[in-house]
Formats: sequence, C-alpha cells, structure tokens
Amino acid sequence: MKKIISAAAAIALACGASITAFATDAPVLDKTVIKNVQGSTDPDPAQANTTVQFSCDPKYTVTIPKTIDLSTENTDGTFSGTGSVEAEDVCIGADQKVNVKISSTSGFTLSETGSSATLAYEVKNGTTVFANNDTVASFTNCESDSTELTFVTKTAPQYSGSYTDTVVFVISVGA
Amino acid sequence: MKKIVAALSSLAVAAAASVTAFAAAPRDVTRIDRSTDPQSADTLLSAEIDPAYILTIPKDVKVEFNALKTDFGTAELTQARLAKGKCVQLRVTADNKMENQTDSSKNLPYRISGETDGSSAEDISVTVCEFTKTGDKLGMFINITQEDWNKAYSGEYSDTVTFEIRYTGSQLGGSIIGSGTGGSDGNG
Repeated sequence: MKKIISAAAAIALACGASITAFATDAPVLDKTVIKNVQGSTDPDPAQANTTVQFSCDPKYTVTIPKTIDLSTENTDGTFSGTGSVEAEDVCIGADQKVNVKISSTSGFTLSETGSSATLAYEVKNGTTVFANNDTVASFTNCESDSTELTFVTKTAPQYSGSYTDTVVFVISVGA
Repeated sequence: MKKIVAALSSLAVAAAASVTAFAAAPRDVTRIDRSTDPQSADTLLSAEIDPAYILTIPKDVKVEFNALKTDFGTAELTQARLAKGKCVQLRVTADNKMENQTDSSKNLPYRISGETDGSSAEDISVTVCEFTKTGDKLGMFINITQEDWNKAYSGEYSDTVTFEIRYTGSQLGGSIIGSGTGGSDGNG
C-alpha cells in the first residue's frame, strides 16, 4: 500500500513540474500566394517574381609596418631589411584596386644622427625598383594578400653610425 | 577495484590538466580601413652601422750594410667604415737606435721616415698619423746616415718598433701625416 501511494505521489509531482518553454520568433511572411479556385488561378497566369538582391559596401583593411630595420649586412657590404604591405577583406568595385603608394621627402636617403653622413637606399619588390611616389602594391577583391618590399642601401656605407628615414604609405582606391 | 578507481582518477586529472598557450607576439603595424583618416601611415626606417676597419702594418725588415734608406713597408687601411670625424690613428714608437746583440753599449742610430701621397715626415715617431678611409697608406723607411755607418762596430744589430693603433677623433681632418703634434708618449 505504501509503495502504491509513493508511486502515485511521484507521478503527481512529475506531472505538476513546470518546464520553461521559449517561444520562437513568428516568421514574417513576404511572399506571393498563388491560389487555384475552381480551375482558375489567382493571379493569372500563375507565376510570381522574386527579386534577388545583394549589397556590399566597399571595404578593405591595409596593414603597414611601423618600423623596418635594415639590419642584414649583405656580401657586397650593403645593408637591407624587408617589410610587408598586407590587405585583407578587400571588397571594392569590379574594375578597381586598393593602391598603396610610397613617398619619401628625402628621396630615399637615410641620414646619420649626429653627423652629416647620408646613405641612399632603394625600395624593391623582387627585381622591380620603385621610384619616389610609385605605387608599390595593388590589391583587388580578396580575403587576404600581401606584397613584400625590400629596402636596401645602394652602396656599402662609408661611415658607421645610426641612420634613419621616414617613408609614407598612402592608400587610395582607383583603377 | 582500487586499481580501477586509481586509473580512472588519473585519467580524470590528466583530462582536466591545462596547458599554457602563448599568444603570437603582436605585430607593430598600422591598420588602415575605409574609415581611417588620413589614408596613410608612416614607417620609420633605421640602420645601425657598426664601425669596422683593418689596418695592416709591416713585419720584420732587414737593413743591408751601408744602406742609407731601406723600405720598411707600408701601413695601410685596407678596409674602413668609420664614424664621420673619426680616424684610425697610428703612433710609431722606437728607440731610434739598433743595439748590438753582443755588446748593448754599441748601437746604430736610425730614423723612420714616412711618405704618403702629397706629404712626408722625416721622423714619424714624433708625428701623428691618421687613416680615415679605405686605401689610406703610409710608406715607411729606415734611414741611417753614412756617418753612422762609418762609426758602427761589426755585429748583429736589432731594435723593436711598436705600432700603436687607436680609433679616435681625427685631428688632421683628412691628412695622413701630422706636423709634429704627436709623440711616442701617447699625447696628442
């Protein structure tokens, strides 16, 4: 008898337990309904048009290194260093590119701190040597891409010291 | 049973153990997107060029009997990358007399002269010599007068010449041979 009462009480407890139910969002119906009543369709003819559309605002992210150290001494006595210009999430017009230009007010010349010594250098990508204000990288629509640039002194340095220069990378979108 | 429990406990501890994961070092870059103003970024280029040089100096030289001027060899800066305004300074120190090997009271006086393009010194042991660029060279000669040869006793004579080299500020501003401003005591 006790067992029967215990079982019944457990069942009653279970039935009375509440469970949280989350309601789903009610779907918004934006559609054409085609009805067929007694052999005639509404609308007539029985067809519907659906507009497919997609929009993408132009976007890109270009990454420029803040510093490049010409710390590698080459066998010919010149010094060089590399840096990459990178682009990611590029989404622009079909005939457009994200262009990156380089400029140097010194005309690609390193200056020694504390003396008048200078050291000319080149900016290259592979065998291509860039001039001042040249476009050094161009990116079309892509998930990610990069261009590596090499900065190398034109000659072996005549004088020792600490040399610096600042270059400016300018980004633009165009043909 | 105990072994099974111990094994399961060990597996549970191992599964719960954490492993340290190091994040990649952040890159020092500037990110430019459509909203960035201006649409440009500066990059600082730098090059640290250490000074370096190779100065060659002559080794032993044999003076022939009665030779008034013997080529001692050349001191030459064969490689140089010096700071602007710096030089490799050469000081030549010598007793200016060769001693007889069997009787040190007997000696043969000599003088080291120096010659370079455009300048010379009768006695470079009392001058400052500076090398500033690759290719700078100084020819040196052992000079003995005929009078001293005539007074010399027979025997073997020798002396040691010391070359002191320093990397220092230039005093001569491009000339290799000074004009008696130095000295073998290291002053100048």
